[in-house]
Amino acid sequence: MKSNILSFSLMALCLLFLSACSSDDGPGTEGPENPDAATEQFVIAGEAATAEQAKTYLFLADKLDEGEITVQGNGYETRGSTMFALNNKAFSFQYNRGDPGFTEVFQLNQKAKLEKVSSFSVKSVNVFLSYKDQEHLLAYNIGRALNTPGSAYWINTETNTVDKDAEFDQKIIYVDGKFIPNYYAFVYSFFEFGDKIYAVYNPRYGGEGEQDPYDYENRAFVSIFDQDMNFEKTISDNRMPFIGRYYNVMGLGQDDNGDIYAFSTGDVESDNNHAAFLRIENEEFDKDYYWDVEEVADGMRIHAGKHLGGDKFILAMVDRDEVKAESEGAKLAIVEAATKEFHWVSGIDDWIAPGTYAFPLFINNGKAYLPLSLEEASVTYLYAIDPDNYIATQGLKLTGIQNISGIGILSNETAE
Amino acid sequence: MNQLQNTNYNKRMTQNDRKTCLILLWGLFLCFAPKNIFAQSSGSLSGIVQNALGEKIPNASILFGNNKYNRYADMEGTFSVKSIPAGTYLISITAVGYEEYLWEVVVKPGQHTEFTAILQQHISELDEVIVSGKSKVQKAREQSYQVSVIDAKQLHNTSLNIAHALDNVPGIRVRESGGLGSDVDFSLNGFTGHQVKFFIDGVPMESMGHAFQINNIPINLAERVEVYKGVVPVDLGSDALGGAINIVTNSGRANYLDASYSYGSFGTHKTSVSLARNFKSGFTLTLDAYQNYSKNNYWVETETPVNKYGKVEKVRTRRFHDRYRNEMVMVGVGVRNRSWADHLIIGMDLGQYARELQNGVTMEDVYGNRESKGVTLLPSIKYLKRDIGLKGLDLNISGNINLGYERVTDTINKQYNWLGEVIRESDSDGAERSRGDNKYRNNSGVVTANLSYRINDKHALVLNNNFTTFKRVNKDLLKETDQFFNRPSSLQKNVLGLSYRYDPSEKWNTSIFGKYFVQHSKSFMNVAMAENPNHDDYDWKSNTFSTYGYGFASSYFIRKNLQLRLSYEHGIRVPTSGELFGNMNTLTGNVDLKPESSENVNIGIMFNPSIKNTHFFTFDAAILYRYSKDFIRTSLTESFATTIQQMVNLRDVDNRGVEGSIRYRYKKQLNVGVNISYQNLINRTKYEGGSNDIVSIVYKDRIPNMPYLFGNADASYAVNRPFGTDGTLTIGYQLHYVHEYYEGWPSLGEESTKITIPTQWNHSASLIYAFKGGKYNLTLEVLNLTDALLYDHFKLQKPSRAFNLKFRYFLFNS
Repeated sequence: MKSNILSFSLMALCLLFLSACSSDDGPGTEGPENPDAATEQFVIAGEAATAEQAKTYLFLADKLDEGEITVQGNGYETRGSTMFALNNKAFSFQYNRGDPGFTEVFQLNQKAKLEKVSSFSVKSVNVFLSYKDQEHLLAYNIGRALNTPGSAYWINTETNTVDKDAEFDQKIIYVDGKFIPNYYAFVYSFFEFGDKIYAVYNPRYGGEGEQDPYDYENRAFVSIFDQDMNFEKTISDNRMPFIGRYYNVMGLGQDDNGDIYAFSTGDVESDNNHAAFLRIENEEFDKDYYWDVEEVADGMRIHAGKHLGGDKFILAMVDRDEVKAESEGAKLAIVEAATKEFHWVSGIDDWIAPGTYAFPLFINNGKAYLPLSLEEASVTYLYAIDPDNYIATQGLKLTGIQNISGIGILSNETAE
Repeated sequence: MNQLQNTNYNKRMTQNDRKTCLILLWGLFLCFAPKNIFAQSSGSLSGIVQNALGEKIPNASILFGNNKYNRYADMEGTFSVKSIPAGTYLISITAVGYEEYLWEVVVKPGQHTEFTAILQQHISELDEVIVSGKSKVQKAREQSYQVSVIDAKQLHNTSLNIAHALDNVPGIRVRESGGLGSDVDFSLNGFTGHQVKFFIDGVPMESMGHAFQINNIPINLAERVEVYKGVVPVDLGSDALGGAINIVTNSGRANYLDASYSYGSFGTHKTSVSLARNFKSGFTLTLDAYQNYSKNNYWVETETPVNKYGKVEKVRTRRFHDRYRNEMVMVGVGVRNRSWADHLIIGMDLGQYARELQNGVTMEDVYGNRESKGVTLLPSIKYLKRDIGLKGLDLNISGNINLGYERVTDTINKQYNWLGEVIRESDSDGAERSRGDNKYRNNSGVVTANLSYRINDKHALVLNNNFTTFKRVNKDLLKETDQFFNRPSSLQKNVLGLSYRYDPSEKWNTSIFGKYFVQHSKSFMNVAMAENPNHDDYDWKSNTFSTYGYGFASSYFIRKNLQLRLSYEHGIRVPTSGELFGNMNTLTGNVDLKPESSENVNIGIMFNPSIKNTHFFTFDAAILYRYSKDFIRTSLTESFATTIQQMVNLRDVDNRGVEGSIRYRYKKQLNVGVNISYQNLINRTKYEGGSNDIVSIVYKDRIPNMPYLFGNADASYAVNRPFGTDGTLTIGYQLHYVHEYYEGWPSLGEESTKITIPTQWNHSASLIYAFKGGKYNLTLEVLNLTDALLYDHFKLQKPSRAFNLKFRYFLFNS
């Protein structure tokens, strides 16, 4: 008996010992800081070029016009997808199919390295608007059914928190002042013009009641809101199809005179499905302005496009024939909407891949940078676009990186 | 004790029992009541082989000295000889792990002799390790396959479920998303999901519903669990890429009652009752019932939004919406030992579950209302006839159909945080994650027919056919979505297998086999592959294909206690209906999918030395090689016109792995074991982005989000008569170890920023007191002894420290 009790005690001791041994590795502490002069770095968010566990990484680069970066052993791994840099902070948003995910906020620390400074929780957001004053970033979650409203969040870039939020009724489809009850706006983008917010969207059938043969996709819609996103009105025009494209803020641009130009990709089956531009003046479509871009672009339609400044837009054009589009790739063009001038961009002879989500245009010191994938799908190049001479110049090479979802600039001037 | 006895338990059958059985089976009796007529010059013989605890011993050899009458007992320990000349016979009965038993029997003309053989356990096999190689006879007869067997009986006093028991097997990792009833990710040598198939008594478990899943089936329901690695025998007819798990239930024992109840932390109650009665008349009744309930309100440490603006704070809190319950009743009634059937059993499984869903894929998504529930309604039939027409030709047929449903509900437009507070709510339609209230009927049926022919001692053939049918009907109870697309998809699959086994000597045996797969499926799908499809883009589409697999397994005993195994299979996994046809939401179909295939090679060695019958060792080591092609993965296909998400044959993977285990036992007192698995899964897809692309940046990189180094250790020490009178007290300790791994591809990104699942040390301990000859058993367990933060997935915490108390009553009546 005694030996049994002894064995027990030994076993018990062993267990205690083992449990006490479980280690707990705390995060390593940073070495002593060696404050440099304020530095500026470009931050680029891109996805690893692989189909599985393709995470988004944040990369730093000194220059955009030359050099190479790779995802191998480099880049801050995040669970985010889209990145916006505002007010010297990089906001990395998660897209979680409707789940609220944490948005991570990064800054450049004194060692000019990325450092996560904060996080906050918003529902998966897929439409963004950087306000011109840099103080707020609007993040929006599209409601994907007739009666499901969208959610809007105003993120304060000083405090890294949401200042206010609002539910947003997407049943805003009106034609000639008449409300169309069974349709809702699948919002693509918001734009800030003066003290108004403009929304472009694809009209979607809500699965109830009367259905239009074209589902109203053969119409260009713009809805106008005040700064707090209170709905004011919807304008529409039947000369071209709906405006914009899912993801990455495209479709509208305002010139120096205050005129707003809108383009449609024309990617619909309808009688009026030409890629074209319309003009909005005084919150109405200008009946005297219509420009059929397809007519001057050798029959190619717009695949994607961004406002460069003034009345200039950069467009990626593709052939209407899908097979031809695939084999020939996209061609870049710069247009001046006011004067209806169309120029092919020179400098890229290679086949350009159909970037779906990747068309973020970054403008710095009067130069525009556009990420493009050419024949090598796992490599992305930043092209510097000269809007006056219509020339694209190959710049930074990003190896193993695709779907660039944001480019910005960070300075550690304000870092603590 | 060590005697053969005439069975007379039937005499104790009460009047009531007779009534019950008559009521239940009167129809069958009327139709088939047999009249046995024996020739005058010969008699007949039947028997049951069991151990001292009354547990049936499967596959025992019954040797008459004359080959003509030699038999193997079936999985339930029974055998019979219909006609044998009158006379005296010396019968030798042997089974793995048991002493040989010799019996002299006198067969009288025109009489039936019935007996029960009670075999004494072989000393060196007593208290066999929890995970052990199969023992000698089985090794010699069939286990040239790379197989691990969990002796579930050794675990009946614990509160483990099947999944947890499997987690102790080298090469297996069971990854859970939370506590009782949570999602389970099973991986076997790097194969996951549909690539590994589960069976219960040889019948595929594929669509038995969530009420009956490996993580809620109590271990008490199983007698043993067989894990086939790399090579799957044809008896388990299914498309498995590199492994199969077969749960063998307790159905063998003649008359027994096994009842247990456990209570544990987080409001956890588990009950399980199994009973079986076999009557002299041949009527047999089995009942297995179990119940699990838990609040799962364990402690978590997490970040959570504390207001509607998403301000994040770190909290330590209890889970608040994670209640899980399920109940299952399985009844089988039938007859045994008829001229037309060795057994015919009709069964009905009834089960249900309800589960609150606490969080999404990470703990950043918290829910307070989402839930799922389901019902399993599974009638089944099992038929076995031995020596059908020819001696040694056995026919085994089983079939079942699941008429149950599952339902997922998410209709409340509120956002919760980890403190259980509503931080955002709205009156408009919405949901916590994705709005819906859908009822799915995944009605599937399966018929398995197995014809085996033991030609003689050296040659045997098995022909197996498995037919599965599946139909999925989805009903939108909210009626909010366009129902035009919502039409049932269906699938039929047939797997035909043939194997030949050659045993040239006691030392060496080899099996070769081939499998032929045919699948036909049909669905209403987005045939135009449109990005945002409308009605015109949809039409019916069907797909049929066939393919085949093959392999061999061989085993050689260098010495009596030293075995070598070599096996190879060209494994096949055919695409599922969902992979072929997509779904009505985000996934577009791809009917051009090829099956996943894999070349699997296993080399194993097992050595069981012992010293002076006091020190016993088992060394078991295996090396494995897999070259797998065309793993089906989700891919976003972009063109200038559309962007569609669909399943594609994307990934080629090779895996060179090693597994080893060492076990030591000192007499019946001390038992210590350790095992370790290392699997090196490497991506072999050289180009992902088409022919013009650069070599993939993850070519030759380790497959992400997959544990690659893990192991287990355990120790137990038994004290006899600890309190001076009766019983055994066993103190046990267990450790699970998983080395840290990355969620993403290891070579990408800066190392210090990578999303990492940290190294896990999971300790647990138990005290088991068994007394009155094992009739009463009392167990105290402490799981997660150190209250560590345990993760199997990034930011998904598993239960904190938990205590369990289990009481088990086991009554066997021979």
